Amino acid sequence: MACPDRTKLMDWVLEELSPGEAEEQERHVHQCAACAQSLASLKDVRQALLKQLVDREMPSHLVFLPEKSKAINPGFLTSLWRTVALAGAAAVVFLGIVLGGYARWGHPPWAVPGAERASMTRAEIETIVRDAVRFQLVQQRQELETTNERLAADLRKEQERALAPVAAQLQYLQSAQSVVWKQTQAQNVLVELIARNSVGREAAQPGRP
Amino acid sequence: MALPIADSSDAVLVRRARDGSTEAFNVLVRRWEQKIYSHLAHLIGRADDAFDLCQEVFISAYTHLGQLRDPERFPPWLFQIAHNTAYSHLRRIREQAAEVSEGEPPQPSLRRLADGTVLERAESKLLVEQALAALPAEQREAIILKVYRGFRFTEIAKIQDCPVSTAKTRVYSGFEQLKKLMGI
Repeated sequence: MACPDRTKLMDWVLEELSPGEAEEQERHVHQCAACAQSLASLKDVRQALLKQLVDREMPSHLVFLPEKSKAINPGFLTSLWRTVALAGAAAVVFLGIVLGGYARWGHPPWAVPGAERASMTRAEIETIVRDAVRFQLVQQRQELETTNERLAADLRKEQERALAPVAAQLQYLQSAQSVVWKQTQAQNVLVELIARNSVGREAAQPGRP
Repeated sequence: MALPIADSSDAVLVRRARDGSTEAFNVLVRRWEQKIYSHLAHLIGRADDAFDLCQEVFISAYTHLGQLRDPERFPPWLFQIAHNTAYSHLRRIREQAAEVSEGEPPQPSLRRLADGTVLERAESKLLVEQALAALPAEQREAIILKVYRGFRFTEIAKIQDCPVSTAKTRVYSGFEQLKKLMGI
């Protein structure tokens, strides 16, 4: 078997080959000193990387939106509102950490050496986050109340505007009704007068059939 | 009996987080923050910036969780966000700097012992990091994703937004380069 492409050896080292392909490479390497040497050096590189590449230690855990905020979150939020509110709350959480850092040390938490940064306890971070979220929710409620008041005022104006022609028409009908009523009364008086005159004439001419 | 939330798989947590459970998302944060932070630190080289960017990555992941079509693919998707965040950051830095200083190319070397194993020295960690730092950023990232995080070439291509052939070339070339730099 001819020597495989070098990338095949790399694929083998990087565990990208199927079991069948790997077996084929292994058979060849057992018979080919040059490929065996290439394989050994590639394995060394991988081994050195695996040994020396370690996860770097984080200065602190990330603080994300606490579960509590969900309970406070009222049901009126639509999905759009919720997205905006969550993004805002996350920004406030971040801001809270910054402000907390300023309040405590005069600079943000990540600007201090690791040891100092670690001195901010979980409870302190949670307090900052809780306050920040509470602040955010209070603001949202105030904004919502202001919006509600504005909408209610707008609605009142709109109703008044819409009802104005109806009110005018009603007034016109009332005055028309009043005129008709007066005319009817006048007619009644007239009819009564005519009736009285007619009775008087009959009394003055007795004997007529 | 249902598993405790902390023992749930990534995919289950993603689905629950999508349904509004911040607790599920917090478990994902705890599970992946160290790896993402480390990855960012390797990419940009500054621990302080890496922490800030790590926050950005998870906030972005949370707000875009609905766009993840297959919850099983959460890890490469998260690393893709980390990649985009890191490169945006690096672009900003490049734009701010009048010229990018490439620095002195490191000349590390790991000596091989007679039995063929690599000589372990106190500074070998530093040498590996120096050798990695000497690689172009895309190669370095591809190597770390492949060797350290165990992603497939197809996933690396997705994370780096490049063809699979490019991802493979980055890993192969990076490997050859590291071999030379480490003197293996």
